[in-house]
Amino acid sequence: MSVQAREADRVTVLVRRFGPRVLGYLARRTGHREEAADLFSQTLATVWRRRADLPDDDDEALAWMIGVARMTLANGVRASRRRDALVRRLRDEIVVRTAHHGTSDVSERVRAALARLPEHDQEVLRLDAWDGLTGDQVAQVLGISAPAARQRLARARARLRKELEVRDAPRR
Amino acid sequence: MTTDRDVDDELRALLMRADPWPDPDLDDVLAPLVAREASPGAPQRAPQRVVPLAGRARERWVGAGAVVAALALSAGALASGGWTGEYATGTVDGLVRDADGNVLRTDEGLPYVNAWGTDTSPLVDLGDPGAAAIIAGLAPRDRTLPDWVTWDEIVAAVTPDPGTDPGVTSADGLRMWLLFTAADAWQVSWLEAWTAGDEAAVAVAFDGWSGALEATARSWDPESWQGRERLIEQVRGGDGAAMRYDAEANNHWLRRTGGVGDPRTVDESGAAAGAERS
Repeated sequence: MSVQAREADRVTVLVRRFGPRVLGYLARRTGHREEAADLFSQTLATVWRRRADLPDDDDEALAWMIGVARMTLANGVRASRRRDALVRRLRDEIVVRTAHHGTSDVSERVRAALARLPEHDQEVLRLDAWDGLTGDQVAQVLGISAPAARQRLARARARLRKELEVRDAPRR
Repeated sequence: MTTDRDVDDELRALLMRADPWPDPDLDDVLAPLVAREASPGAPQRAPQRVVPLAGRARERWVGAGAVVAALALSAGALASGGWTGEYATGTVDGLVRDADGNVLRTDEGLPYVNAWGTDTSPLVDLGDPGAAAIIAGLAPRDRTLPDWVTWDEIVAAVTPDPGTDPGVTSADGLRMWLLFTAADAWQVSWLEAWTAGDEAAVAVAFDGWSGALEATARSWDPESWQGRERLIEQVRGGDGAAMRYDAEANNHWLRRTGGVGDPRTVDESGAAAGAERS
């Protein structure tokens, strides 16, 4: 099998394995299915173009793909205006298959507290808890060292805890 | 004894339960997406095939069984820049074929879908200052809009923000985007009229919405378009819930008012409605 064919097969395997997580990363940050689908398609195109750069290790590859999604997001939510049929189908499928999730009062309160934190705190907490990345993967996505990522996560958790406590404190 | 790790785990569990976005199983959608990106016609930042603009402007192209007039390129738009001089590399049937004319297929038998579908219209560099004039020139201004929005506002909604790197897209894709945005405006008007019980206004808004949407029919794949047609029929029959659900998922104008379209808004009834429509 040629190098190109191996790379193509690996992209196929990785996208099918990690695609929902990358899509989830985008959906949580855009809050909009259509834009998430558009961005996911762009992310996929970039992953495909840069497939020779994919790390050999699967954990690193996931972080790398999330990193590509992060850059796609940063480069403009509306980077692609083209309404692609598959993107539309993806969007439709997301609508159909995404079940009701996380709507309890507690969840609402946690999301509200999270939203009040600085963006960099929100991001590291989301990468950890929502995107399910390990410390090393969080570091890779953010482009910082693993110790720095752990420190940032610890600080963010402390701020979130404080934010939840403040809101939970009885009002006089 | 409660350790720091326990506290961290508890907080993490709280956050995980608050995750608004469960990862859906999309394998059957991701497979053709991967195949599409792997196809020779996959989109590039700088498309490869270049066709002389003057020659292309005289052509007509066939899309989804319909003959569609080539876009009229105004002299003003050409002079204003923004055209890349290249064209979307769509094919007659939107599929990728080998030199012998056979449709290329994945190992799973799925056809490779051309990234541009049937679109062969000129490409526009949306990062160019001239792109705004091009988009303005593409707006189908003879099409009626609700009285609370103008074509200039539709154009503004479609035009990328300055300073972004929005990439390259096709003129026909922009034309479709303008129509989608106009349809979104009519959808808002329909919902308002439906909520107010104004049957005359509902009828006007329905005609505007369905007309704009139907004008985009050739840009959809057949399966997705069938879903749109079903939605049109549902709304024609007075199904306000289906219309509202669709608007909450996608409507540009409702999103501007905030809070709509968040994945958290999807509930069981909505999912069922979506399944019904697709």
